[in-house]
Amino acid sequence: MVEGEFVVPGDEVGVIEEFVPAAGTYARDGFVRAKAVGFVRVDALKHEASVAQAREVPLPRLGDVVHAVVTGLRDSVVYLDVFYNETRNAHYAVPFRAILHISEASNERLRSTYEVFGYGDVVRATVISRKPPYMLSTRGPEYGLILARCPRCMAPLRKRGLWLYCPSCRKTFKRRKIASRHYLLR
Amino acid sequence: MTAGAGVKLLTEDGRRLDGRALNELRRCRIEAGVLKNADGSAYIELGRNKIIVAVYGPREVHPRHEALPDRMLLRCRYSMLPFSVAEERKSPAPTRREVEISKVIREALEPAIFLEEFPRTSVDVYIEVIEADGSTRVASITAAAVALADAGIPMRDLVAGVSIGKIEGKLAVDLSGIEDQHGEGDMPIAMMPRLGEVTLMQADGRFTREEVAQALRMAREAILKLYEEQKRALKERYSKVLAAELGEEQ
Repeated sequence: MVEGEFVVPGDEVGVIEEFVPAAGTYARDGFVRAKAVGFVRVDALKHEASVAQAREVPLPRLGDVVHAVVTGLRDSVVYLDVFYNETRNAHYAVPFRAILHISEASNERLRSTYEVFGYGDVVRATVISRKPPYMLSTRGPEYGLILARCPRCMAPLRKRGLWLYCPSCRKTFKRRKIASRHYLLR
Repeated sequence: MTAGAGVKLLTEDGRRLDGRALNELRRCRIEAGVLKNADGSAYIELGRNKIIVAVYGPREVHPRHEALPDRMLLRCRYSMLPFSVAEERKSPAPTRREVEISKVIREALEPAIFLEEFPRTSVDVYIEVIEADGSTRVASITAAAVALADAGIPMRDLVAGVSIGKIEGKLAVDLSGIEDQHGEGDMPIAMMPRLGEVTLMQADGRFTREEVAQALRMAREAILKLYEEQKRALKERYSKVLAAELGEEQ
């Protein structure tokens, strides 16, 4: 097979004597075969044959940055609906349910997740599991809330310095975990 | 089914009612990526059959108790639109026949998919028959495989299907509606063309051992032709991506 050649699932990409099956390929009957529609890639140095997929399944993977809405809160866990994958630029029409444990919520010690998140808040987080149910983490300064509302009056909270405050009822939220550079309403 | 009750399906020179030879497929055209909202889609025209297939997923399983911890859940729904048949309007409610066909299509596609790659997720395949004229289940499989590949779902091979029938004692490829109705037997066969494995084989009517062997040979030959059309459809769909890739390399 020539580098860059178009293949569909089942097409022979190479022989197993010559190539190790890499991404987008599998070995069967002595052949390295394509797993998906795409273009052949050959790494002569590593003896790897792979297929650059024309279209990849945009499921969340380990390490992806995702956006999610808080749908449930317990003292020790937060339940979220993942609706957007920032790494793959994919919107999920059917959101994925995800779990955020209190130990992964912040770099600081927390007594309860209620201190840092509220219902309906939008969170930027990383995926720390390989398959559903997805586990998320908001440790690190760039992860945390990107949009939150005041629990009293539902007005969108604004950022003032390191804290969030409510422009309508003037309450300040000092413990919220904010994605510092991403908070939508600076 | 009344076997050949007075209906002549072969002309004197051995041709069929639509002028085809016994081992000739109807005209087949496949198009990939016809729907914007679906993750993968395909449209097939096989003679007068018109079928559209939409694939959604992998996505989270609803209802959640149906999720499988070690593999993906594949769900298929084959349904015929009320105006798809020549006779009386078909009721839109799923019939016994449609429920069964949904099941056999799922089982024909399952061996081709790497289900274990996406545990606890589901892929939904919706097959809508817009116009039916015999051999819709195998045409649906042919289109569904293209739609799955279009969705980027990892597969061992594409799947293509064809029906072999018996008309006036002779085996014929790709039965049309009238041949299916008045013929002596119908044997839908689906295969993974590259791997040469049969994933669907049903039959009604009587076939001798030799006829079954011959039917499989005829099916393989026809399936390889359908496979070429599947490949062409996918290539056409991704020709823009191909052009971009080549531009990148220069």
